[in-house]
Amino acid sequence: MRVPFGFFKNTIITYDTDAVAYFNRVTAAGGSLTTAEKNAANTLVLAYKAAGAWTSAVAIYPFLGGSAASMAQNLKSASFTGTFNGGFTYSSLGATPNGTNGYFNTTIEVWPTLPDTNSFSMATYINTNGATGAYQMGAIGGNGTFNLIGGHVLNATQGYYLNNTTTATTITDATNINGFLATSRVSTGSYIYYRSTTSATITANSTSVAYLYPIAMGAANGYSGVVGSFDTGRIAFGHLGAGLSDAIMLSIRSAVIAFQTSLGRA
Amino acid sequence: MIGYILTIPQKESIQGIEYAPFQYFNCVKDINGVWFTFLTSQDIVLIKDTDYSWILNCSQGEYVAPPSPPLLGL
Repeated sequence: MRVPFGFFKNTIITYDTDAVAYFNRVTAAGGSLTTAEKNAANTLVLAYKAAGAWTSAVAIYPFLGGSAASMAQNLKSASFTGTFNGGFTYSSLGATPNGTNGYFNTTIEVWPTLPDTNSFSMATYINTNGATGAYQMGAIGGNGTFNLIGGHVLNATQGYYLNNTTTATTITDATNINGFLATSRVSTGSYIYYRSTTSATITANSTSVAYLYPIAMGAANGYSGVVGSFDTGRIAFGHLGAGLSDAIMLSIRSAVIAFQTSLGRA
Repeated sequence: MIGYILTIPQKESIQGIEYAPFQYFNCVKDINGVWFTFLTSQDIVLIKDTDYSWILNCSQGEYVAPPSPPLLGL
């Protein structure tokens, strides 16, 4: 049945105050968000809070608004606004680095931002195929400590590192190369890696906290002392924070996938 | 990939400079030690009427990346 124009009722959505603060930062930066993007961001904030992950998060980058100004904003707080360096293409679907010199600088150095060797998490969401041999996110500290998510390596293998300097643990899996990619460490002896539909524990002792090079997205910072291993996968989400338990990270994974799905960019 | 070829002074004049809000130049060296930068079509629109429009007049050439270090730990 058609409802005559004028019979619609306005739907009033009450946004979380932290979501509103983020909307204001986007606007102040010269960006803008659609109603759908605002609703999705608000839902993501609520999911983080419901899961108990909001407080421990240092940065949540929703990559909304289709411009560098809007995508640089941190949903969690006014700190750690990111920067885009080199070649990027921006759209409502995310930010696409060119694989040659483009990377997103989170401006977050693990030391001293997240000083606990046994408490660190990072995540990203990539919604297009990337480059072989590239890293999606991370940095190698001046002390040789790795915090990296490296994918599209050797066609189907990913390497994950978290506050460790030992031999990489690589995952060979031809499926789920893109989508949600994350790691979280909450103990000395192991950490867990996550993809959109799988996760597994990696046994590797934590050794130290990386310093000097901020965490990059779309590349690895500190690789041979510079930013390198540039990716081409379109970035649609980023997270950095203290370590999250397996149950909490699984909740965040579900929330991030729902966030992307609601925006038609899963 | 085709990029803009820069002299060292040109590279030093733009490296790390903000050319638009939240967007910074990043120059990279190719396999022969020549400096390049790359601009997307969106970047070109942004800088064509700025002090950095000279980049658009630089020679362009094929960029060959230096060999990547092996995946750490492998």
